[in-house]
Amino acid sequence: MLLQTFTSFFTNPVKLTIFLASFMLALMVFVKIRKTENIKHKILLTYLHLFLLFFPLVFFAFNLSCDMGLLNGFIYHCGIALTKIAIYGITASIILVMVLGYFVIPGVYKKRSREIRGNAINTTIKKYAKKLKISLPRLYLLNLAKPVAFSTKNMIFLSAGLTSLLTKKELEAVLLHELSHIKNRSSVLKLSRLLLKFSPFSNFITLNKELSNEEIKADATVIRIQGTKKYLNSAKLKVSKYCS
Amino acid sequence: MKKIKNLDFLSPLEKDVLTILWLRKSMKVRDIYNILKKKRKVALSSVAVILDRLYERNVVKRRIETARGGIRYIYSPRQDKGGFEKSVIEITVNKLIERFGSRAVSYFNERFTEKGR
Repeated sequence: MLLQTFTSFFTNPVKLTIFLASFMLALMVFVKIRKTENIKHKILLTYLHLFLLFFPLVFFAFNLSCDMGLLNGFIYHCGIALTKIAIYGITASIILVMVLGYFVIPGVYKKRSREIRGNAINTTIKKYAKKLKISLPRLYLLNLAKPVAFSTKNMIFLSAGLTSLLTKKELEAVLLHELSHIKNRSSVLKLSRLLLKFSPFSNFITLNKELSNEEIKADATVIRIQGTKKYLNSAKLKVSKYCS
Repeated sequence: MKKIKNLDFLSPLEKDVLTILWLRKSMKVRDIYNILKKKRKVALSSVAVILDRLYERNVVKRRIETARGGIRYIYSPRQDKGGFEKSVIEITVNKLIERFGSRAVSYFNERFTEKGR
């Protein structure tokens, strides 16, 4: 009876067409992710791939009826419930990861830090944001001795330990590196890499290479604007010495 | 006042950093480093690590100074040299009494009566 319920979905030509078409499109998008070089396209295609992959599954789960009555057997109800839980669970996990990555985690860091305004660092950020043609990001200070710097959408987080440790020029190099990440939307790329793990095809594609390229690109931006890699290297050396 | 933790050992570098802080009261990491580098071979990162360790053990306190020129930690000692030494003695004696009980107390008694003679 359970098998009958599952197969009845696929005997309906309209439902089967929607299911298969979506899967085929998901596969086509997946192939496109592998081929495209543009990071923005890669990110967009990743989201599209996941949507097309999980839409038919959710559609299928939604169509599984539970109107057979309780008397029809325990196995039937368990089978339907488990299938629904599995499909809805994975879909909910993807949405949860997106919400965490986009809103919750940056929000937590924002709460744990304080916004800095009118400081020399803000002036540096303003100067280089203009140069890189990006909107002015906000600066947040973490009360942490460990030298840390990272960025999300349009926020730069620096630890007080980092600002105490680095010279003005070295800090400028770190800020330029982070501004470059904001320009290239590296944080979105990182989240996309995580989301891609939900795809059954994740073994065939990872965004690791793209992410390491992002780091190289960010370093290249620092060297291009500062005209030397001296400050970037000394900043990296100081941070690694602290952590060793 | 917060209780000082793990004062069993202060490394030579930690001692040097504290000595400088006792003299100057409150200082930036870089200022401590500038004084210390004249005395011994040390990296700025090492001084920052040492200061953070001392902060974790409640030996020093710190605040963030957000001046127009930048943002930095300002470190200062929680106690002066005398107060710090008293805390070390207190912790050590308490540990001895905790470990050896009445035996440690009678030893101290013997030792002090010997000295008193």
